[in-house]
Amino acid sequence: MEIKLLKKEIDQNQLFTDFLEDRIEGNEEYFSNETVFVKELKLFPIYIAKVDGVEREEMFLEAFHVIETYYADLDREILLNGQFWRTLFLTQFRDELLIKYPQIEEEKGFNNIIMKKFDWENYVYKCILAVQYVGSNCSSEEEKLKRYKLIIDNLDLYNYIIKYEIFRNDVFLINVLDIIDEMNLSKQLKAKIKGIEGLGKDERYGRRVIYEFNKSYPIVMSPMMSKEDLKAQFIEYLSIYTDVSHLKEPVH
Amino acid sequence: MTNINNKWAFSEIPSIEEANFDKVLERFFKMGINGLVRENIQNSLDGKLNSIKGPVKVRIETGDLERSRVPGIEEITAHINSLVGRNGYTKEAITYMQKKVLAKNIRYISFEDMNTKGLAGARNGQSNKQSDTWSAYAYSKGVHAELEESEQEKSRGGSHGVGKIASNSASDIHLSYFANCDERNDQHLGGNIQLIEHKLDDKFYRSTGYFAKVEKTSATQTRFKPYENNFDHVFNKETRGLKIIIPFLRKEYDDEVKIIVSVIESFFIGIIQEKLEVEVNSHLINAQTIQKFIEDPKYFEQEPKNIKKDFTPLYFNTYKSEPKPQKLIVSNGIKDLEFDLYFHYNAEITSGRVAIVRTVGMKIEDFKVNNNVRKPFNAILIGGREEDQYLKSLENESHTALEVDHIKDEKLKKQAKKFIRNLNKEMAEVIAKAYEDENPTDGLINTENVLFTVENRFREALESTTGTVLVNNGNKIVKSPKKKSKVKPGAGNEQPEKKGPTAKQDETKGKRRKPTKVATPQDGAQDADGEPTSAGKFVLYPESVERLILANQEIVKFNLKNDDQIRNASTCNIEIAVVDGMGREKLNEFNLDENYQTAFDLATGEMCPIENQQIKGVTIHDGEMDLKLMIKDRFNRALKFMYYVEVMK
Repeated sequence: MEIKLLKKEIDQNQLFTDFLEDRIEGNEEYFSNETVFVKELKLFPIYIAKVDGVEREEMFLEAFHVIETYYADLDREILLNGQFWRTLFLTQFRDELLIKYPQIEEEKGFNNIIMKKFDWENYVYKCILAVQYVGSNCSSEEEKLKRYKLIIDNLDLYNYIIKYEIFRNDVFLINVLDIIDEMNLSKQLKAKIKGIEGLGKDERYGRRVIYEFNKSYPIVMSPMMSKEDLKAQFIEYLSIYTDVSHLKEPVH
Repeated sequence: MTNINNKWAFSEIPSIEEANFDKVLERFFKMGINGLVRENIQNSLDGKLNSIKGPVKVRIETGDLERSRVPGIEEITAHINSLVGRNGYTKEAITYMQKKVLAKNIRYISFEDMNTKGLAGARNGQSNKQSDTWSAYAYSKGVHAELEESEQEKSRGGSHGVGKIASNSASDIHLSYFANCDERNDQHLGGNIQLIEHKLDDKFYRSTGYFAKVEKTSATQTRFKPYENNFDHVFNKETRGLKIIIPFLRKEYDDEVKIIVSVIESFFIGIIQEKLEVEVNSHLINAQTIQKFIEDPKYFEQEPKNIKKDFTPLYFNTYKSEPKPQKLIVSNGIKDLEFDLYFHYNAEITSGRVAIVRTVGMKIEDFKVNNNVRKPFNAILIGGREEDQYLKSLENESHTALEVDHIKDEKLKKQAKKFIRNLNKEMAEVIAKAYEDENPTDGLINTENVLFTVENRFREALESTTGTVLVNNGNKIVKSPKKKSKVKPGAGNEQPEKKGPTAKQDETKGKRRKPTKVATPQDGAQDADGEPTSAGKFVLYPESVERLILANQEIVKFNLKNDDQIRNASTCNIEIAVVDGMGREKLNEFNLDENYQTAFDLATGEMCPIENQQIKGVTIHDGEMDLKLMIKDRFNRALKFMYYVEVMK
């Protein structure tokens, strides 16, 4: 079906009221002349905060699966266009979303879920990148599922990686995920850093390791390193913050 | 089958298919008074009675009316009350109409024309005869009846056939009437209302209702016939011509000043050329009085430099002060079209526009000439009949702009594009010539070398600020520094960013840039009396600093020779900021205590204390400083730094 995209400049206050009163679809004022053709539409979890454990994993996997099946073929320009997704949410999925996320009846929830800026903090954006990076780099369904689960399990680190455009790279992400898996580092990387002064409030080992990569020149090299080289560097950066003597031999 | 007992006729349909109002309604509603005035006066101009010498006269009247005097109002109310909205947008519109239709006292506007033909063949009702203009006007959408004289057909205004609906969109309930008086003094009243498809008393009806009788012509066929006009005087038309009456006038349209402005803005040429005379309530606008309106600040902005939207006073002045037009020939690739151009140059004008005007005297567009929208000129372009016909094919549906998008035929579209391009080109030449005549040049200057230098510098700057990054599958990404600023600073540890040196400060390679001052003495350290001890803080550019990292120490050499303020000072404190992968500077990211064991001033051999994120008391000799720093285990050797120097008094 052909979807007419919303205009870029929209009065946000009016939009919220019109969304609640179902006055967006059919109102030409909101739409631009740009259209996107999508074979079939299906809603997936677009906001996965404040849930834990199995429920959270299921929601993410559902999102990955739906994006892979229904949307992954779209051009990257469309897929990573926040306006495209907002158009779908406001016009195609309005009724479903109101049921699934009742908090969007409040302006705060609406802004945070529907109108959220399309960057690394946005769940849809996170899921699309996960599908793009992992989906195209796995040899089997098992391997893919394993990596998807690694992302979900190491979400904090994943966020930190896709936050920096220099690390928005499939090879780098997959190497880091595999290193975490091979060395069983997940728990350590998630932990808060203790005993080092001058760091921010909520500092975690994983974030710091990625930030050391970010600071280290020449930066563009890290996505091009082989997994083994990257692993050595990874351990070295981790050693700045904690004792790594037990990591010298990979844990299996 | 249609219910034949009523004043209003809605055709029956088997089921409801279309749940929305006619889209054209909203388009005209957005154009407001302007759309309404233009459509109706244009129709009057098109209907000019050739046997009469004088101008076409249009009387526009607004006033109060009792609801009960509106013909067939109770039936309309029943239909409106039966409407059901299928989406939020139409629901809202319907609730509004249902409320408005009950108002006891309402406003109306009417447009009555004189010295015009009026519609022909009303007594025939719905008919297929081409000359029966009443039938086309009253009972069909998207059709305009062709005039029998083809010369006049070329110059007439409308052609998309949607203009009639402009009147409906001015009414709160989309209702309009038209009273006609023809050659034989036959007087009839017709009307129509634009609703949505609806169900009333178990029958489904089409969205448009007609104020007409239904007459059976055979067992299966019927036709509409108009009522003879014995209605209230507001709805009467007793002299030859047409009168449009719009009851339930929307508040937004009920504005005499705006109506007058609108009339003048669109038809000033027609009025000046005595082709048209318009009366708005008690105000008569004709060739003699128009100047008074145009020069009245109540209606128009008078200062040329403030005129940015409504250019009428400028056009008026152009037309009056340039009595002899020049010829402008614009080709569409096939044919040369010849226009009269009234051109006026005035240095006070800030927005340059060309009024494109049809022969009947109606302005189509404030044409913007490419790259010349802020040139100090004003112009009017009028063609002959042939040009009119061509322009008409380029007009959009609401006759307010020349466009090519609606042209389906590829060949014609290409020609149209060429025409608009040529029009831009020809106009640009006229403007350039006028500009040159007004501002003669003093002489010629050879700019070859200047251009070369600029281009070369740009190329070098581009090379040094962009890098190519190879990603997956050999795809390339070009990193440009502009993009960096788009990325949000992350949450958590990061400090507010400091602005580093920009490419603008870059100079020729090999030359050392001067350190830039980033803080005044008052911002820095103070002594016991509260007096500043600092003479200011400076950021050093990378070329002033050399670093050497050995096994457990780092040697840093600072060269400050090219800045007097630093060179002549004796000691300073040093701060270090890290530059991250996106080129952003982080001042507190690099913790000196955690990374350096001790710092030695190599010139004196003394140890420099590391306190408060500063290496203190480093001495300056001949504009140079040399430091040896003993590094700790956690030191990341691949970091990139920016150095800040606080010079002490």
